[in-house]
Amino acid sequence: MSIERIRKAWPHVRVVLIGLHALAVVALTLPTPHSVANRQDWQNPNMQADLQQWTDRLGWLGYDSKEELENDLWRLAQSYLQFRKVIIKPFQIYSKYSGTRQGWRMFANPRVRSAELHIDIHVDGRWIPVYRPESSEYDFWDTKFRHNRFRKLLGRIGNKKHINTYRFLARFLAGRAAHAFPDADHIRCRLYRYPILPPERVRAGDTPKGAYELPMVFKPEDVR
Amino acid sequence: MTRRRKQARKPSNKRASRSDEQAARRPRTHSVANSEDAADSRPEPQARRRIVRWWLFWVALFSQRESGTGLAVFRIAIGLVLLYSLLSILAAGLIDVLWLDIAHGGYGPLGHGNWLLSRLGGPGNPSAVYGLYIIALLGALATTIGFGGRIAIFITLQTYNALVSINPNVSGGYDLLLTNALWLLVLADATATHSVRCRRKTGKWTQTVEIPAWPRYLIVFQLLVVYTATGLYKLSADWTPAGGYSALYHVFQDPTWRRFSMEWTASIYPLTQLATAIVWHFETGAWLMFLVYYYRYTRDRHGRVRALFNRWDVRKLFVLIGGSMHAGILLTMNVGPFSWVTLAYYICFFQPNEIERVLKRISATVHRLSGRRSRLASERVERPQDAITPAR
Repeated sequence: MSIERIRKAWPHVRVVLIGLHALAVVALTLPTPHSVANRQDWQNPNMQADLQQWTDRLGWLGYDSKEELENDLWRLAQSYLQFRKVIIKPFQIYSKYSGTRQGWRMFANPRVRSAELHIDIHVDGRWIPVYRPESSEYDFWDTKFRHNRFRKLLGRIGNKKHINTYRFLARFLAGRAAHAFPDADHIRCRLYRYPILPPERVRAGDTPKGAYELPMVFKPEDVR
Repeated sequence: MTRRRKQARKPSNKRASRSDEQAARRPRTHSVANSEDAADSRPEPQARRRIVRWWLFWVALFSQRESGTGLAVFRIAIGLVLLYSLLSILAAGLIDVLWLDIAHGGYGPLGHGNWLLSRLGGPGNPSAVYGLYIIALLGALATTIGFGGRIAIFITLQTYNALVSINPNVSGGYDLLLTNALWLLVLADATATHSVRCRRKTGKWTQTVEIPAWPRYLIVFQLLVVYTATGLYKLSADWTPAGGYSALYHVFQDPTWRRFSMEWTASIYPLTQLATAIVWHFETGAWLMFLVYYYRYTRDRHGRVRALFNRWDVRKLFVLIGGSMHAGILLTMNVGPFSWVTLAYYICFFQPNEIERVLKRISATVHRLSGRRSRLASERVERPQDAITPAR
């Protein structure tokens, strides 16, 4: 093929390549399997609250219960996953080497129950808090926790499917606390889970009442 | 509009007169003439012509060239955001904690990393992680100053991508925006001007040069896909009238991302509802900007809808709403450099000549202020000799 022919063909080839890139971007934007494939994820309180809300609104479509809607959506999700598997395959190699990964699920399901990490140390027979979010008094590792990447991690451990991540993180932080507070004979990490109150209750002066979950207690010698 | 209609009519008249001349020159039998007329009116050639016209539209669009200033400014903005992203994790002392395996100071096991990091030994090899970090940092600097051309940007892309792929639990939407931007900068001629490369080639930091415009179009396309997708992902009823537009209120009550305590938003709940509605409709309606750009590009054609879209500069409205949204995010939430990288993408909404006008205005303002300051400084230097009476 002569240079002249290549030169003439190039604008047309370019359209094809740009079109393929655009198609890759759109295809890769389709929801990823981990967000729809795991039935257990659908049991988390935020998802269940959303399903209940949609059931209440979609009653005119014949949905009498949340479970009915959930089952229909689950079947639809499985069909979608088969379709996605076929569509996405050619573009995954492209995205692997070009950095054109897509994943734009941001604040898709705002929480109705929040979870905070709390850290305490045991000194002289009593538990003393050393970390509470947004506290200037209990601010152990606060500057690190406030970094946006750590915030994401702290947000993740509030989700039950990341329980292993929570366990590793709790052990790691206990080790850091053991160094920072050498007088402590035990370090405790817990998740404090509480409901987000509707605005009228906050205006009335109510404060959310939560409960602790997943307490993990460590001895300094085990984690230093 | 009338002139355009007349002009639009002209080509068909020309075609008719041309074919009459050709018919007059060539001896044709009656049946051949009839069969040729019949061929022109067959649906198949018309459909083929339409497809060819449609194809040539895209060829023409992606063959456009424009000043290199727009992409250069975008490149500098992306480089600065990259530097911020990399330096902030270093400053917080979190590289070991978040990007190294538990055996080397990390908080937990991290798998193998992406294709590049796994070849270098994975997050279990601190030298590999720190090596990638240093190269990414230098690459971010090179991208900002326009040194090393596409190769430097490509290396920055691969090293940054390898780092942020180490631990998905700590990487965010802004990382994806950065890697996508870097890939498009690799494909573009983004160091043609406002760069060290330009300085070395021409002796000046800037030059008037034309580069392909299609990478800028893809940058705009990428951002509109981001907004549309993120809007459609918002399946929670809280984002919609069905949930009372309560989503932002709930986000503000969750301590994960907010900068400070925000229980007070309960007192301005209707405002949070309004903000939620604006955000969701803005995002789910972002795809309409494709139409805006299409109508702008084909403004010479007629059509009522086209005329309506071109009556105002809808881009400015879009940028105003989006810019306000991201300003709100910056003020109230800590989501890393997400708003900054998104606002960098906004640069590409505008033509390079529009960006050059803004840069000239900024430059003129800076010159005016520095001129005023040096005048004031020279006046102050003269006055003290008059004002101060030396002590005797």
